[in-house]
Amino acid sequence: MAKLKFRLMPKGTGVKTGLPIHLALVDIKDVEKAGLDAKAAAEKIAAEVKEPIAINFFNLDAVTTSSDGLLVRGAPKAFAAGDYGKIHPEFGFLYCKPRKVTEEMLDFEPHLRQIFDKCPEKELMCGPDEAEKLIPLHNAVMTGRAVNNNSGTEVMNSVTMEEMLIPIMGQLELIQGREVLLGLCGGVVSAALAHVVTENFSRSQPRLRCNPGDTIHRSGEHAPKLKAHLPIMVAPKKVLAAYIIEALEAGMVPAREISSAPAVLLVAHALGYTIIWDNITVEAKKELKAINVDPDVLRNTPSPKLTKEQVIEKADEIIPGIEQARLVKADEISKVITIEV
Amino acid sequence: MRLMHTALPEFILKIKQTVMNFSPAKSVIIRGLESLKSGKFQTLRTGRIQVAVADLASQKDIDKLELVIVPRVPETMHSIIIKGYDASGKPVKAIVESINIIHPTEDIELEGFKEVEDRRPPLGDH
Repeated sequence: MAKLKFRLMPKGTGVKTGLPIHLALVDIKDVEKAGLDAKAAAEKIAAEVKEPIAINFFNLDAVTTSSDGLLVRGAPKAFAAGDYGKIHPEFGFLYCKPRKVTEEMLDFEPHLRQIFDKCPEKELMCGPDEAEKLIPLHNAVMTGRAVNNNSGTEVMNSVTMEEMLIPIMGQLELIQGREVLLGLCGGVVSAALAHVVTENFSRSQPRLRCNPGDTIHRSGEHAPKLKAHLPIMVAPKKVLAAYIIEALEAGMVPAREISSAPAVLLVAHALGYTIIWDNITVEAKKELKAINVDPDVLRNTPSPKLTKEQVIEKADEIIPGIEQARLVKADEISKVITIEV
Repeated sequence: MRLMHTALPEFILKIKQTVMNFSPAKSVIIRGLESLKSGKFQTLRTGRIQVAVADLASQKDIDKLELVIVPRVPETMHSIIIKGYDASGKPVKAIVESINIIHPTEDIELEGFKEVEDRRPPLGDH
């Protein structure tokens, strides 16, 4: 009998209400070793756990992008929701859409140039193909009480209505047994989430339209309140800083190819990289000012011209956000489980 | 029959009558239609539901039935109509908006049942 390995983070992990349902992270190589496909593996895991669970599959050899346009190594392959020991046959499972980055895509999605220039052979995995999903809006899978939304990055219990954000970088750290940051979104992350780039097949919606430097929420001074109360799991700030630096070194310019999210602006400013300040829209500025990251102040403040090593070292000081933050080792909050399949 | 439609009150009556036909001591609770004031139900499927109700009501070990209606697709799209009236109750202005609601799937209603017979056709084959 074959064995299937996955990492399980139990319901309740995190700050406040924490994770509303269990979370299983699965390396697609382990699925292949077990002689299964992702859907069959999701069914086996759901049958083992029996309670509401989000199950996310990763291809660590593929790449994806964060919503602010950064190249991320390792990518979601598929996502599932299980409950009562099963995966809903119609709504419980979706594959992410594999894409090959071509030069023709770069005019519309200029942030993809990092992939085109650096690793064109890598498969780009984003959200699902909208033609394959049966619900009208969300990129979500659902079974019973379990809702796994935004292509596996926002999990909910549709009965208790609790919710937690699990952006992709944090999950990639967790599945590789490294450290993650647990906390509450707070005002900064609440506002930052809106600063995204235009993407086809994004994790949150099939056609995300937002020029770098703009905000998708346009919520002005209310931006810090939108998701402030939600628990979240993210990558440590030094990891985020390293991803931002990699994008900057690849020629990505904040508010031109990548977003004007506060972390992007602050890291770029600390290093002395060019930022296209005039591309930051009035609406985006309102949101940034509401979290004390005022682009008009920042552009008139001389860069400290730190080295990238210094920025990574001081990432916790440079990058704001996450309340009640607690840095934890993957093995403190999750464990690797092996089941017979 | 395929293209005929059954009115909401008749649908409710048919379900209750189907149970009563087996025994006046048996009862049925209908949930999920509370906010509907009117509606036309597919007659062919109303008949199929009556058959299902009869199948359970005819079982000697079943005394109480529950008929629950939930969205088959667990994300539903709705129009929201916001209406404003003057002091005399005369309509002044309305705004129509849209919202999507995420629901649990039908599985939450099936907790504890060892025997579940799914008679639904696949989505799109109605």
